Formats: sequence, structure tokens, C-alpha cells
Amino acid sequence: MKIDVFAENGTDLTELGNKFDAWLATHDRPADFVAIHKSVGCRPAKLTPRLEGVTAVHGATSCLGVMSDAGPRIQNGAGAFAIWDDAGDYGTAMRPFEHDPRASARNAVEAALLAADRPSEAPDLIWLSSSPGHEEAVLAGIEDVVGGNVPIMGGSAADDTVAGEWLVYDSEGSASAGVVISVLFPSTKVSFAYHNGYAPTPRSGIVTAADGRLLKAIDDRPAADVYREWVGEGVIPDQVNGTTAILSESTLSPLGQYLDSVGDVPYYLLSHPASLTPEGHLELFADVEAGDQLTLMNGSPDQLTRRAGKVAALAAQSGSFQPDELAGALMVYCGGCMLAVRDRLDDVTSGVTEALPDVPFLGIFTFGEQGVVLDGRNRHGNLMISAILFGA
Amino acid sequence: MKDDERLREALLELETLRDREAQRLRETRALLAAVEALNTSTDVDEGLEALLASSRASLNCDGVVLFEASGDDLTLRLPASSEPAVWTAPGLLTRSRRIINLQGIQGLWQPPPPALAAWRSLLTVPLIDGETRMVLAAHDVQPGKFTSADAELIGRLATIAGQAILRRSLERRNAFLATVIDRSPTSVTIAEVSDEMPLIYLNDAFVDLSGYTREEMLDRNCRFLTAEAPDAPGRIAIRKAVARRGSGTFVLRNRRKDGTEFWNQLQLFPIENQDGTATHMVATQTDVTDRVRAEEERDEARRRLESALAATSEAFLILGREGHVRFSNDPFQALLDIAWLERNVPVPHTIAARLLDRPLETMPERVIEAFNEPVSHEFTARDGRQFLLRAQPIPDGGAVITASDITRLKVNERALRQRLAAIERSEDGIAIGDAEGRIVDANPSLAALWGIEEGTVALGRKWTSFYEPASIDVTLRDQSQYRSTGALRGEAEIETAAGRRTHEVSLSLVPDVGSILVVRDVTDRLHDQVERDEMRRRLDRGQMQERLHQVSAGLAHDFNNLLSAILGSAALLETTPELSEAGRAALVRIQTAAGRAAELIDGLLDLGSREKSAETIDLKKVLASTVDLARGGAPSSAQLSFVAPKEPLFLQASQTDVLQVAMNLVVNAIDALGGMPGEVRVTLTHPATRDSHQEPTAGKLQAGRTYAAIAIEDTGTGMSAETVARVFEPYFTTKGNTGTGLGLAIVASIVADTGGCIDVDSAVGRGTKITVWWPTDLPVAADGSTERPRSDRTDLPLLILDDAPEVAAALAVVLSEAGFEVAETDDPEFAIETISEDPAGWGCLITDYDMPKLTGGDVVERLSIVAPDLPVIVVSALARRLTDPRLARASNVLQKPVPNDTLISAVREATGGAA
Repeated sequence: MKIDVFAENGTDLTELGNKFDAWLATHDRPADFVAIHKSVGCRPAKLTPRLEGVTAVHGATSCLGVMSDAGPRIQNGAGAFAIWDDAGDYGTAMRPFEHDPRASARNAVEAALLAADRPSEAPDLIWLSSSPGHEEAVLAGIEDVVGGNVPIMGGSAADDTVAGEWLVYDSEGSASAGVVISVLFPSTKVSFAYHNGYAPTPRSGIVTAADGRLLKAIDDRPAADVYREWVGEGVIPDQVNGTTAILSESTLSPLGQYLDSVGDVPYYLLSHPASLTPEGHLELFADVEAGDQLTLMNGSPDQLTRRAGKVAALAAQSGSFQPDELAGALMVYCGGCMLAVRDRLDDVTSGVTEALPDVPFLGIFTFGEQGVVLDGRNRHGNLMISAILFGA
Repeated sequence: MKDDERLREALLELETLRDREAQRLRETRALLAAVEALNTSTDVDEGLEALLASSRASLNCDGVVLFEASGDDLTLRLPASSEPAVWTAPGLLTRSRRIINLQGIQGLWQPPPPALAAWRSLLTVPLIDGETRMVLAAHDVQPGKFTSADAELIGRLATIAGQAILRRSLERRNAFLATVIDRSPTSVTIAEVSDEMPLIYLNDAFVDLSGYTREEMLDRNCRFLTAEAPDAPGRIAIRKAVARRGSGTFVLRNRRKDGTEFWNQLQLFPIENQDGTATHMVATQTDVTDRVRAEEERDEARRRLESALAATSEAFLILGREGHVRFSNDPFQALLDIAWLERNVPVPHTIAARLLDRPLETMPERVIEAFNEPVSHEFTARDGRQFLLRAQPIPDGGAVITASDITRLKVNERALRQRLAAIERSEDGIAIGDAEGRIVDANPSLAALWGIEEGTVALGRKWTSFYEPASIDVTLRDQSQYRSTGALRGEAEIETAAGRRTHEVSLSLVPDVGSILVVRDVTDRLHDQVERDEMRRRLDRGQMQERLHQVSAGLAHDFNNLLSAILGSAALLETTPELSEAGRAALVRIQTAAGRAAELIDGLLDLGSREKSAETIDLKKVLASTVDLARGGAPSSAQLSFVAPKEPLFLQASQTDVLQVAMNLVVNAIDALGGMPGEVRVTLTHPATRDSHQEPTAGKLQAGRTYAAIAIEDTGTGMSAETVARVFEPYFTTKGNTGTGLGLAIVASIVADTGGCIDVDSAVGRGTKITVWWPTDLPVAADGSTERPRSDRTDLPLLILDDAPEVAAALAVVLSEAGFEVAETDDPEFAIETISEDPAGWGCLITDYDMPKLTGGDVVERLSIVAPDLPVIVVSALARRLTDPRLARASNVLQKPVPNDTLISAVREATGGAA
């Protein structure tokens, strides 16, 4: 098992392509698996055609760029995470969403297993990239095939301005609405962690009306009113004429769904309010259902900055890994959090490299994160951070 | 950091660690259960059954089973109570698998057999140890049942199961081996390590081999079998091996119970306990009597072979599989100068390089090649001898290398190639015929000589078929001679596109080869021979005539002088008045007889008169023929050469004269070599100009004429100046009795007659060069001196010049009687000098022609300068033969003996008086 990471800023796309070529040329054979994540400013055509011979090419756009052990690359940033593993098996497939995202996900995971020549087998890990909006259905579709005992880690494709320019792709093509799934059967051990950097506040309520990601009412009151009350006056507009984005305003004040408790301490899965509607509803980046308890969560830039390193360390701990036993790591960092601490991304990467010294890693910035929560289930959340470690 | 956050992080870490520990605890419990299951079982199969049960509990699944593989088929072995099932699933043998739902593999794998149809989740681990191939599998009816932790756990359980299976295999193997040893055809004994080393085990084969019963041998040291003395090397060696508890192979002479001896190959090795202490010594024993005898025979054969090879002159080397020298004979060691080469010493690659006696980087590889395929190479040793090195692999993996001295062979081969090349390029036609005389091989020249296409046209035909039958010499048909002498030679004629040709054909009978036919075109040679014969004939005739001429001229000259004296004296007596009648009658008889004698002498002159018929000849060709003729008679030590311009040189001359001149000079030149090696070179130059101011040794050049120079040079003894001065005198010879003294005199005479001259350049020890200046144009007509107006010299005295004083005296008497004042001298120089002093004081000069110092012609020529008006009358005993053109200036030429009145009339006419 060998892992190498490429990460560059791509203001000059030709130059970026040349650097990518030079990086590929340092290896004597095509990788067995390559995940490419980059900002929407860098088109897939610039990199993926250069990966001839790679069994599994997994791609999704990332907000502004990527980060790696070499630091953040968020000016048309692009990164690649490549695995060479003779004894392992890897397969990737992308399927656009048509009418049924769950079916697309089912279809994609079956195709990926077939591509890995391991049909009907449970992979050690699934690496997921989905366009935002149907992540819960995608997780359900994957579990339809592999069951609930296969960890699914990943993040939703993102663009730079929430303008819907995100893409998912594989070596065959790309889709702005779709899912790309990689099944990983590495020959070495894998461990992971999936957490957030927010703490609950005493403010909470029960969802009384919701439609998917549209949160209509909490405790029978308009959701916007409750949320405005929770976060305090002046944080979000009192009244809007049209749907108004509140993404940045709500980044440090998301809503949490209770997951489980460790001891007496509850843990939450976060939902990020994205916009406010004239009807007083909140549009979230995750599904809610009537009856769910929502708690106002509180975060700070310091917490978000430190959290990535903490999650990486937790993943190492979980796998009983010493840093020199690791071949590489993948980090998923919420795009909203990244925007909130954009000026401190160097500290974010430093935190990871401190936790994983001399371990190459690639971090992506996503609009929704998927991972295994405390109860062992695969879940979709917002403002989450995850780390996946591969043994050497 | 807020306390709340720290608490949350700490709890998370705690939770993570708890999960991890829980997983480990689960694994540990499962593994302990598995080990306990195995260890509490009475046999391995039972233990495996218990392990499967504990694993099922640990994995919380429907069951854990063990498949045994045979090819691609998996047979369900355990639990033994399972319904029999065979499943073709090769994919389960290649790697561990965590199958979510077996129904999902439909169409990709063979479906499970009915007994396994309810299975959905399947977790498998292959157990492969050598030929044992098994699969440990956990199954459950619930799809996606197993986690990655389950997969990790079953992997660890599989390790334990694998060890149990291995133990079972070992038990089975041990039992099997024990049976094998018991029943092995090879004798096996085991002795316990102690002072006595008693046998504690022996198999049936050993009982058979020794002839003793098992009871007779157990608890005894096996030395009772030996037929060797205690100090035999084999016994000493085996004692040492046993003493150090070592291993080894020994061949010993043993004796069976029935007393028969056999050769026993004993392989000894110790069995050690965990401390490394030898507890037993095991011996396998094989009757190798046949092999030992075969080896003895082989060694004897090898000794004989080595003796034979040592005696051969061919260098011989045998290499073993690893490059060891097994054998090398003296010639090989001498060739390589490697006396240190000993058997069983590995041959370094450098020796291979020395094989060729020159830097041969490739040779080691070539020698190595010899171990796989034959290699052949020729090389030249430092002493110049050539060798053929051959390396041939031998069946046991080694190689035989021989080096043969092929120097003589190569020399012969080269000579043969040269001969073949010579035959191929020979102008002579050469063919080989079979016993019937049919051509079986021929060179290209033969086809050209026969005017046929080169190649196969002549093959199979008899040589006689190419010639006109009538033209084949009878000598070529004499088969009896051919059989007796093995050789025939003759000529035959053939009509070709180039005309009719004559071939010289020779046949030689060569044993084991056939008849060798050699054909040579001799047409041109025969033609040249005819020409040369004709020249030789003319030369011989000319030389004979010349000799006759010289002899007759000499006789005539002397007789005529005598007759002149006689007749002169008789005429004087006739005028004596007191002469008696009888005396007068006697005088008349004297005169008559003398006159008759003069007529006879005149007739004698006709005998040797030379042919003077001028003809057009090619001087170059005549000279070339002369050299060829001379070469035929010259000793082989004499090198004759002829150098001439490319173009022919045509001129009007007597070919006989040219031949005589050239032949005499060339033969003299060859003679001058004295039989010693030397060179004679004839050079023709035209036009040639004589630059020397010295008088020619013979003859004179005539002004206004063109000449060719014929130079005859030799590297012989040379001549002294005295000899050179006399060399052209008649009867002067340096050859003693073998010379006539006439050859060069004739040469000088001929050359002088043609208007040419001869230079002789010679010195003793330096060789001789004689240059003949031969006129190449016609003679210049003499000017008409007779046309000159003559003065009256009637009263002036006459001067008589003759080298014979008696003749001069007789002439003086006659002329005095006729009223002339007469003076006499025998010295031409004195005469010329006297006249030169007063050219007008003399009435006439009456001179002889043949005189030693100057001829009459010379005198006429010189006087024409100093006294051009002086009349000169030449009186010669050989007047009829005089051809000297200068005599045209003379007033008259009279034949001795000249009648008195004729003489007086001629003088009167010359001096201006009435005749």
C-alpha cells in the first residue's frame, strides 16, 4: 500500500495540468485508485483524461479548493489522493440522479463493486461524493446493497458560491446532480472518525412541521421565528420578501439533532440553515422530520480550527494507529466551516499534520458530510468533519 | 477551550477507546474459546468441531463450517453432522471474502448447493498449507450480517484452525512415514546413542539385506556385519562420524549371515532432541555391489582410455559439470603451458582464454557454451602452429575439449587451394578423365581451347571427340604405352572459330585420380618454330658462305699477289734481249701458267660470294628471333633480354647479314659469361645518333644517313684494350681451338659493307658493350669524281702502295719500263703523308685495297680531302668483291694480277696521257 497526494492552486489551468503530469510521472505505474477533488474553477477535463490506466477514478468539486499536508490550496485549488495497492481492490462508478436518487446510488454501488471485481461483497469502506440535496436517499440506496455494516464516508460536492455549479464525475463523465461511489477493499487496515466542533445550547424544540429539508415549524411556531429568537435579534433578517440566504450567518449557530449520549453528554448531528423563506420557513442542508428534537448548537472559529486535528487524532486512536503505521489520510471538512475560518486554514492543516506527522493527506471542503455516527449508523450531517486513515 | 468542549472531546476519546477495547475483548474471548475448544478435545477433528461451534457463538451467526477443497470443488467437511454439500466456488480459495448476500452473486458464481441455499451472508477465509486447501466459512440467513470486525475475527480464528489442521496433517504424515519406513525397500536402522550404540529399530528390508532375524540384531551394535578389518579406512571414517554424532555417506564391505559379501552404502545421520543433543543415529543401507563393480570396471576403462589418450599427440581435456578438470593429457598441458593443471581443480576462466593464446574476451562464454552445444574454433599458437579446438558436451554435463595440430593440414590445404587456383587460371586446358577417358572435370581454359561453352558441355565426353581423328598423333593412340608408362604426349588439330589450331595434348595416369589431360595451343609456337628454323637455316648457310668467302678471298688475295709478282717479273724478263729462245719459250709457259692460275683464282672467288639480295625486313623482329635462337643454346645461368621500341623497324637489308651480325655478337656475349651467371641484353634504338668522337673500332658512319643502334651488352669477363684493337681481324680469336677467328671479322666486314660501323666498349672485369650502327636508309650515291676536270700529270712520278713489297716491285718494273718514274711504299700512312706534302707533285697513286692499317677505300677517302685532283688506281686481288662505295672516287679498280698493258693504259689514262 502506497499513498501519494497532489495539491496545487490552479489559477493557470495549463500550468496545473503540467504539474499534475509531472506528479504522475514520478510514479512508475498507474494508481489503483485516485480521488480528484477541486474547485469548480478547474474543469474535470483538465485532469481526469490524464489518468489512463487507473482502475478507479473518483471525482467531485470542492469549495474553493483543497487542503493537504502541504497547506491549503483554495485559489482554484485541485487535489488528488492516489492509492497503489497490489493486494487490494478498488472500484468506482458515477450515476446521475434521474427520478430516484436512491436507485441511482444503488446502481452506482453495484457498478463500483463490479468494477472492483468484488460483486456482492462488503467493502471495508465506501467513499461517497453526492451532489447536495438527496444525501439521505443516497445513503439508503447504498445500504440497500451493502447493508448497514459498511462504513460510508464522504462529502457532498460543493461550489464556491452555492450557485449550484458543483459536479460529481468519474472517468466516464460528470453530472451536476448525481452520485459517485467508490468501494474500497484495501489490503491494510482502515479507521475513521466523524464529528463536529459544536456544543449544544439550552435552546431546543420539537419539529412540528417539515417537508424534507424545509423546516416549517418548531413547537408549532414558524421555524424562522423560533430560530431568530434562539440566535438573538439582528443575526438573521426579521422579514424577507423572497428566499434569502443565511448560510454564513448560521454557520456558527446550526441546528442539532440528538444522536446519542456518551455518559450523560448528548451528541448531535447538525443541520445547517441555508436560507429563510417569506413564509417563515428555514431551508436546511439536511432532512428533518416532524417529531425530531432540534437544539441550537454553538460553534466558534477556534473550535472549528482545532477540530480537524482532533478528528484526525481520534481516527488514529480508533484504529490504534501510530503515525508511522499510516500510508495516508482523507479529510472531509465542511465548506461552511471552511468559509468561517478561511483566514485560519493554515492552522487547520497544521492541526492535522500535528496529529498525523509525515502522513500525506488530502482534505476537501463539502456542502454536507456523510459518516458513521456514534450509534454506528451511516448518516448525513452538516458542518461535520471526518477523517479516514489508511494503514501502511 | 471551554470545559464543556474539553469534556465532550474527552468523552469522545473515551468512547472511541471503549469501542476499541470492546472489540479486542470480543476477539480475545473468541480466540480463547477456540483454543480451549481445541485443547480440550481428544483429537484434532473433535477439536475443530468445537472450534467451529465456539466461532459460531463469537460471530453470533447461524453457523461456521469448514470446507475442504479438491480442485475448484469445496466439500463441506465439518461439522460432521452437516448435510453433505459440494460447491464449486474457486473464488473462495483465492482470498478472504465478506459476501453481503449470496443471492447477489447469481450469474457470476456457481449457485450454492441446496444444503446451503438458505445462506445469505457469508464470511470466508482460505486455509492453504501445501497441498491442504480448506475454507473456514461463517454464514447467516440475514444479508449483510457481518461487519469488518467480524471479518477480522474470523481471520484470527482461521489461524488457530489452520494450526489444528496442520497438526492433524502432521499426525497423519507421521503415521504415513512410519509405514513407509517399515515397508521401504531401503534398509533403515536406528541405533540409540550410547557407548555401545545398540540397534533399537530395523525395518524388514534390513532383515532381508543382512539375512539375520530381527531378534538376532536388536540391541546389538551393527559392526557384526562388517567384512572389513578394524583399521580399514571405511571403518575408521564411520567410527569418527559416530563419535562426533555427525552425518556422512560410507561404502563398506559387509558380510551376510550366510557369509556372502556385499558392498553396503551406508548413509548416517543423527536425530537430535530439542537441546540439540543427538539421541539416535539413523542409517539407511543400500546394497551397491553392482554399482561398485560397475565403477571398478569404469575406472579400469578410464585408466585404459587415459593411457590411450596420454599416448596420442592430440591435446585432450575433459571438464566436469562444474568446470573441473577430470583429465588432461601431456600434449594439452604442453600446448597450454599449464603444467599445474591438476584434476579436480576448477578451471578458472582465464584458462579458457589461454586456450586460444590471445586475448579472447568471448572465450569463457564459448567454453561455457560447450557445456550445452558443440563448439569448434581454429586458433594459432604463439609458435605459429595452428590448432583446431573442439569442445563437445558430454551427457553428464561436462565437456570434452580437444586441440589438434592442423598446421600441416592447413599448409596442404593452402597448397591445394593454390594449385586449384593455378589450374583454374592456367592458360593450359586441364581436365580429369575417368577410366574410360571421359571428362569428369575441366578448367575454364579447356573449354576456351575447345571453343565450347564453359561448364558441363565437355563433361562425359571423351577428349578425342573434340579433335579431327586424322589429326591426332598416333603416339596419343598408343594405349599399350599409356598402360606401361602412364603418360602420352602428342599433337592434334582442331577447327575453331579462330581457325585451325594445333594442340599439344598430354595424358598422365594418376593412381586414384584418373587420367589427367593437359591441352596446350602450340599453333603459334609451331609457327614461330618454323620461322626460327628458316632463320637458323639461312644463318647457317650465310655463315658457311661467309667462311668460304673469307677463305677463298684470303687465298685469292695471296695468290693474286704472288701471281702479280710472277707475271710482273715475267714481263720484265720478256724485255731482256739476251734471253734465249728456250728461255723465252719457258717465259711464255710461265706467263701462260700464271695467267691460267689467275683465272682459277678468279673462279675461286665465285665459290664464297655472299648473297647480297636486299629485302624488306623488320629489324626488331629479326633481332628478337636472334635472341630467341641464342637463348635456346645458352646455359640456364645466362639471362637474355631484348629491349626495343614498340613499333616494328622496317628497312632494306639482307636478313642473312643482320642475322649473322647479331648472332655472332650475341653468341660471343654469352661465351663471355664463361658459364657463370650473368646477363646479356640486346637493345635496339632508332633513330640513334652516335655522339662519340672516337674512331669506330670497325667501319665508318656515312654522313647524311640515318642509323639504328644495336647494342649487345654482357656482364662477362670483358676484354683488354689490346684484344679490342684486334678483335675484328680475321683469324684472331680468344677462344683457342674452339674459335675460327672469322666470326667478328665477318661481322665487321658485313657492317662496313652496309655503310655502318661498330663501337666496342670493354674493360677486363667490367663486361663488354658492342654497338652496331646499322644504316636504316638507302646508300647515298657517290658524287661523280670522274666528272672532275683532270690536269695533265704525264710527266709526274707515280707512287705505288702495296703491303706486299714484291708486288709493288713488279708493278714498278712494268711502269718504269713503260717510261714512268716510279716510287714504292708498303705503308698507307706514309703514302698519304707524302702526297699531302705535295699533292701536285705526283702523277698518280697505284694502291692495293686489302692492307692491315688502312684499306684502299680509306686511302681514297683521305686523299679526296688532301689531294682531290690526284688520280688513284686501286689494284686488288679481290677487286671483284669490293663493294666499298668510296672507291667510286678512284680512277680505276684493277684485278690482280693485272696484265701489264692494262696497267699501263690505266695509268696513262689517269695521268692524262693517251691510253
